[in-house]
Amino acid sequence: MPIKTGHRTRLIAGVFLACLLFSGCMPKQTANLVQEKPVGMNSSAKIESVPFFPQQDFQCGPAALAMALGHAGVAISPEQLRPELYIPNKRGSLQIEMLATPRRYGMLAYKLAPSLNKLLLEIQSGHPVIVFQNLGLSLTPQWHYAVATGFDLSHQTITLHSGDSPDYVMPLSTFENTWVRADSWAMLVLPAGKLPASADEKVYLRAVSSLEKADFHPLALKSYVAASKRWPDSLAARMGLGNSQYALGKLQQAQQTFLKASRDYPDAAEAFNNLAQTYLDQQNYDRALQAIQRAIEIDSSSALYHQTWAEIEQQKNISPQHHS
Amino acid sequence: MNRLFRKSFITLLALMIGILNIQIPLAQAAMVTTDQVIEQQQADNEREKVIAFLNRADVQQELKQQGVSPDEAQARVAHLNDQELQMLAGRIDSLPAGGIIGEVIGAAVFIFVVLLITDILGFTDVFPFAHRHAH
Repeated sequence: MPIKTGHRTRLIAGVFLACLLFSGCMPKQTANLVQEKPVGMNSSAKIESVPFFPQQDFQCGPAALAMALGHAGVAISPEQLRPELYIPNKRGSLQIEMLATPRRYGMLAYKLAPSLNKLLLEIQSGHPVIVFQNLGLSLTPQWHYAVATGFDLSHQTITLHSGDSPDYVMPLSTFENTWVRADSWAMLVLPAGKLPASADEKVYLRAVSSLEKADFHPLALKSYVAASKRWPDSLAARMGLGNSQYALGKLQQAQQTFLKASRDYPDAAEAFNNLAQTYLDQQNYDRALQAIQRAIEIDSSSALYHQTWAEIEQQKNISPQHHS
Repeated sequence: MNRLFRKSFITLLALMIGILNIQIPLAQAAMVTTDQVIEQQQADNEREKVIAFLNRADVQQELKQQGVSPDEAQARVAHLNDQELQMLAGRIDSLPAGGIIGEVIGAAVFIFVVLLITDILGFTDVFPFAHRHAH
């Protein structure tokens, strides 16, 4: 009997190893990168100015975020971030809180698309990348955060601030394996007004609007300005710009932004509604009415536009000029 | 059952807030938010508010169960937006949390050996000593 079990264990181990060996040595994205360097990508890059904090017990989340925040201009220690990120019973930090925390410091958190190519291009553009890895196997996961600061395609390596090691150099293929097992999750921490190298319009604007909702209006405004330059055709970027100007009490500027948006997008009821509200705040009732009527013409089902219209009517009727 | 209760509760609360809103004189600005433009939909605000409120309570409770102090849990949920709360509610227990320091705690010898082999092959990166390039 004992011999049989031994045989079986050896057999399983053998099959397991054979599977590993025959599944190929180099993962797909690394193989592609090594085979043909993408246009515009240098063969190596390194960001030197990323501060390093050694990870204390299970604190790789706070450590990684402190490094990225430090590089973006917020001097903070992992210890200070611990109460905002660490979950004692899970002995770790959640991805969603990693993305939510930079906002507290007026910084933009941008979740990257799951592409090794894009990750390296961000490093090349000087943006350290927080990466999520499963250092173990799917069955015995070892979840880990690190900060990617450099790469070298000729040596097929990537450099990470990870755990206790600053500038830990590891094979790109191993990195890809560990990263893909964590769903290729990666994020950037950016100061307001700075765009990722591979920015996706919707993902970026969502990040800015989170900053706007957290009442960082001057910073949101700066980022919307940058976004409208990068995507001149984006209605959302311009609406965000106008909304931030409005929130800061810059009614003239907001009016200009919404007016221009309503001219460039004659079917954008949102632009007309916000233009109407901005006119209303300046007691320009006639223009406000004109604008809101156009919004309702475009979309008569919106309760909000009818509410704006009712407010304009109400305020127009109680204002002294219109009584006389 | 719980879901059904929650659903009707949300509808009831949303209705109440809706009725209250009608009675309160209109004063606040009626702007379309940037969010609504990005997502191209004007949400049912009252309903969304109630759902966010319930999710916030859920997530706060879950964080406390996971060992976060009550004060910290409260501060943390206050900084999460509606979508983030939605993604966390009821799931904190099962979501992965990054935290290891590079050693397998309490792992069986078999797993140790497997991980060592996969480390050497470059599939995993649990033991820094398995790579010659590592410092």
